Amino acid sequence: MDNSIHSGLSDLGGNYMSKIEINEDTEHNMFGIYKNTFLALTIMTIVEVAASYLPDGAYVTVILLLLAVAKAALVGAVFMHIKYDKTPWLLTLSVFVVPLAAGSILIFNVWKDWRGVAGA
Amino acid sequence: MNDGNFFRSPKRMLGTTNAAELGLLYFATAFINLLIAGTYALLIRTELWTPDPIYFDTAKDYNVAFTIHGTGMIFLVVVPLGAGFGNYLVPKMVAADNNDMYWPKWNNVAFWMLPIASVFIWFSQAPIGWTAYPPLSILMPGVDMWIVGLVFAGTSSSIGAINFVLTIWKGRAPYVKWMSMDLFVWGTLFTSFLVIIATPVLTAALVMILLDRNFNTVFFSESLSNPILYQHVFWFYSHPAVYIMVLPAFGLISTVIAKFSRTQVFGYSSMVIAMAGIAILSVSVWAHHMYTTGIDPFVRIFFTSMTFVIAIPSGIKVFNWLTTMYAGRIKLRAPMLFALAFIVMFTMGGITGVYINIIALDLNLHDTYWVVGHFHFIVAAGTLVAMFASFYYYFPEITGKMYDEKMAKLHFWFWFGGNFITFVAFQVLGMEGMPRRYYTYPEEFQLWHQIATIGAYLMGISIIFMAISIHRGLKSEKLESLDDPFELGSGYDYPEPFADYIKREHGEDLVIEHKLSIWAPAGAFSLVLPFLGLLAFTEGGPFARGKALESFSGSLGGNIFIVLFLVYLGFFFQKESSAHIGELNPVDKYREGERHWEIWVFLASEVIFFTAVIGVSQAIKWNSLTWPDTNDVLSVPYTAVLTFVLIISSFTMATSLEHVKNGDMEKFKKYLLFTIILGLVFLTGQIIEYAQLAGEGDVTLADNATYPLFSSIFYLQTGFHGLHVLVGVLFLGFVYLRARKGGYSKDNHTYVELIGLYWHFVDLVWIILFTVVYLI
Amino acid sequence: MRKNSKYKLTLLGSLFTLLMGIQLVSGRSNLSDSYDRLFNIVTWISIVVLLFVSVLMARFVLKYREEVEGARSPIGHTMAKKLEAGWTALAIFIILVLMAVSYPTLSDLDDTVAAGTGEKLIIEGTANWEWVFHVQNSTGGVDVIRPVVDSNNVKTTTMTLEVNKEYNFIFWASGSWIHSFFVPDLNIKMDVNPGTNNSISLTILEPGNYVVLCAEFCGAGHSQMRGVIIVE
Ligand code: HEM
Ligand SMILES: [Cu+2]
Ligand SMILES: [Cu+2]
Repeated sequence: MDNSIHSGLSDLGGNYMSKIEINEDTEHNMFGIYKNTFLALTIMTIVEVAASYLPDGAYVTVILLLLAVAKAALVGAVFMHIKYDKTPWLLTLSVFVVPLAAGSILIFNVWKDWRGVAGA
Repeated sequence: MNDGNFFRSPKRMLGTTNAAELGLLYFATAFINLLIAGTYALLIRTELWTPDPIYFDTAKDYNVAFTIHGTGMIFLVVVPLGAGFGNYLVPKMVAADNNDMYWPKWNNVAFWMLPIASVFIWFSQAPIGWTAYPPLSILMPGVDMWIVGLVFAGTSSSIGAINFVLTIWKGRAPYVKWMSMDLFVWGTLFTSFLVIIATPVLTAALVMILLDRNFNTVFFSESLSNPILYQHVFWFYSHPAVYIMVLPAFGLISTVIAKFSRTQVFGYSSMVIAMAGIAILSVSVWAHHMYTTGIDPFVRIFFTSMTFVIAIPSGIKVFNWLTTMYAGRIKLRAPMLFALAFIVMFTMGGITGVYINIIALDLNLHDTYWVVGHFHFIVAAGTLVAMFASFYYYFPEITGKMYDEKMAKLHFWFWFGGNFITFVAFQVLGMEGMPRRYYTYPEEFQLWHQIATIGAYLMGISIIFMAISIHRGLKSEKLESLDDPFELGSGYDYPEPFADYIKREHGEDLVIEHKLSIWAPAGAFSLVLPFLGLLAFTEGGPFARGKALESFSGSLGGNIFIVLFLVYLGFFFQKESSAHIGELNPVDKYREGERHWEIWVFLASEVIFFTAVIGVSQAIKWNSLTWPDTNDVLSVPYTAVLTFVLIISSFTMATSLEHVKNGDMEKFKKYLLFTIILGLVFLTGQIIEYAQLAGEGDVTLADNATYPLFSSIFYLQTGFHGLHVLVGVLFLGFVYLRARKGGYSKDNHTYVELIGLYWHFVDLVWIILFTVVYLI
Repeated sequence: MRKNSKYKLTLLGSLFTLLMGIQLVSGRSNLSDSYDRLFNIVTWISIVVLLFVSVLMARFVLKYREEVEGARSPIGHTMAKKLEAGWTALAIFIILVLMAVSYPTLSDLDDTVAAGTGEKLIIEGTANWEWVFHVQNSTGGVDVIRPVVDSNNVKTTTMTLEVNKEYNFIFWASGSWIHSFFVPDLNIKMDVNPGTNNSISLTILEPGNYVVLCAEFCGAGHSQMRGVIIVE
């Protein structure tokens, strides 16, 4: 299922900017894209819930994290229109990557400089 | 420019959205606050004349004094002064298209939060030091109110910062080129970035203290968690905060030195790069405040190295300022004297800073008067001096009159002398081993304490001269011309105003009105109500420490405040949703608004906020040996359904926006309504979940919870997210009301896009939260 | 009047450099030597930097003030570029020197401070703002030493330690306040954290009386919790 959605997305994303002014059926396409995105998100959520019932282990955690990131990226790219922006990378970098990087320095040091053992 | 009536009309003062006028209000507020915080300083110095009590009867009163002094000077004097100059100067320096800040109304809101913050902070009487380390800050009275004050101050500067970024980025006239802007604009830009990145983290830290105090959470509990966690989070904000204060001063001082030397700023590009370097590095030096906490060796060496590196750009700037004077024709008027003092004092501050970054030395000097001397050199003798310099320099422009030079020079000499005496005495005391925040002290320190006190009084006296200088200036004749009031051969030379440019190029008269908005300040003031409500829930009256949970439904005052707020909100929505429908901003057509930076900048600050909240929670989890299996204590299928609800709401939101873009207003409203309903369903679902968890007793904030630490981070993360959903629903409701009144159309739907982006972002956060809180 | 003001500036500048030279008698532990050496080196570097900045500034103010007639020859474009690079290099150089002198002491510090060796000595900071020392006595037991309170409510706890003997100070906060164990004359300070215990190993090399203070703000009694270490 992922493949078809993705090819659909990139197909449209590339020409979106030029299409929107002139092409009438962009309208139709956008609604379709939203619907597909919504479906993909729903399916991934179901997979996630199922995976969380698997016995704990590193691989389950990794799968869950990857799914979460994929879902978040989908929301950002499609619903928030980052994909259709003139410079998606600039936007992603300045709004998501830089604050995340700054925050990660904090988190890394908090974790590294932890004193004692925490409770539960 | 100021017609003199401004300060006589309360209505104009309240409602003005004109950045230049708001700048004046910032100056006035900061000056009043300077007097209050300065009085506290003199009381502190009086107390320390001898080891015996002189003014303060108890140590606690003394502790309140230095807390209020420090908090006040930082958040209510120096930061607002930067904002004041920013308001006054930035729109002119970038020839802003509307001759104002990008969002004039929000600008008004940002300002009025400041007096509110001031009142909360002055009256809080918290005895915890401006750093508010727990467990002390969890156990002392007055802290709730202090935190509320700081949150107001922080929000004020965050709104201001977003506004500055937009003004500089989007409002700037096309003919004002980046590398020809006044350095102050660069300083304000970098400061604003730092505010946007760092302030949310402070808010997170303060809210965690508030929760620990009132809601039984255990984030900083010494037995279950780790009080030192707070120090990391706090300094992550507060080290950048020192640069937030100093970067605008860097910009201001560059201009003053160049003007009064009649030269150009030397090394413009290296000045800009140095500021950028400082801004970037300043988020990775904070743990130099923690060398004596028994810090991890790796963390320690990382931070000492980064702190050394950040000293390099500061050094470069000092050398460049010196070179700016080379081959000039220097005029020693008061602004220039202050500027020269800035260079020397900032150098001293930098040098003394280097000592305490050397760990072997810091083990002796940390938390002694050495540190106090260091940051007073930089903040009081540096940043504040730069503000004085610029204040005198722009005085003729602001008032149309000239300040009294003789008094200004007296102000300078007393201030400079006082600074020098006091802060050198501080360094000596520090070397001798005098710890800071001492109500009484061993006798051998008395001599240097008395020297410091004498210096402090000189500073106090200098402010009287300043007041006289201003007063005489205001009484004097108007200047004939403001082109070059200091006879320097060049005036303030701002770029050509945008309206003139349009007139010349397009022949159109851009009429820019600075409207009065009574609803903007009213909005700011109304926010006091829910916070008073919150404070009223704390035990023993509004402003004491207590456990809110036990008195949650019982506090009459709290409920009244909250009901009042809700009533107000309804009224406000009703009014604002029909205001200015269909009106267009005259400058809009000249803006190339292909991207909504206003919301994206805000979202960037939200990203760091949630990174901090989620990340700190994860760090707690990684460091604990026992952690409940989420499948046992939480209901995953139930929240999966809630997740699903949010995902649908994102879909309906996106669809709704698409419809308004296509001009299908009926479907637009229909899908908007769906979105609101789904948001409400999610919130209701979360409330039911909380109620159920409280009933089960594992994940609850009650005293006998099975997993107190798990519960704390659970409610922190989901609670903050829920709050965002709530705010989102409120804004959606507002947009819906406006839509029903015909406020949006095919060509005019910016706000729908903005709220849409916010809503999707909240959904995105939940997707991450669902995984890290419920699934892993 | 003008003439005076710039002399005042230079005068004050040199005054401060002199004051920076003030050094109290300190240094009587295994840490003190490196502390003193480092402090002196950094002070000399600071004096040079501060003199450089203030002398340059005073010179420019003297030479280029508007009253002084005569031609000025501004810095040319290529020269300016070079100078800009030069200033950058100078700033980097100063910092590199400082790094070079400070890093070696870091490992010294770790060797002595974090060693965890020596006779155990528990330093307790209480909720009531007092130091309590748990010292091993000659019979193998532990003496718990509590403070003496004077009329000003200053609480002084006194213990006697042996000279040239290594002690392992373990810091324990029995209440909810963070304190910091600070002995100015030994150039050492370590936080006393609730929940976790820091420790340092220290050998005192000279007999005498050493004042103990609390350096982390801990509330109402912060300035009154004192101690004395008598070393014989
Ligand atoms: C550029 C402007 C600077 C400002 C505004 C500034 C401000 C401050 C402030 C307010 C503190 C005190 C925090 C507290 O304990 O309450 C502080 C501490 C400190 N500063 Fe700076 N500083 C500046 C530059 C520097 C430089 C250039 C260095 C070093 C190379 C430095 C190193 C330190 C260190 C290491 C501390 C921690 C001292 C301790 O608590 O033991 N600072 N600074
Ligand atoms: Cu710092
Ligand atoms: Cu203390």
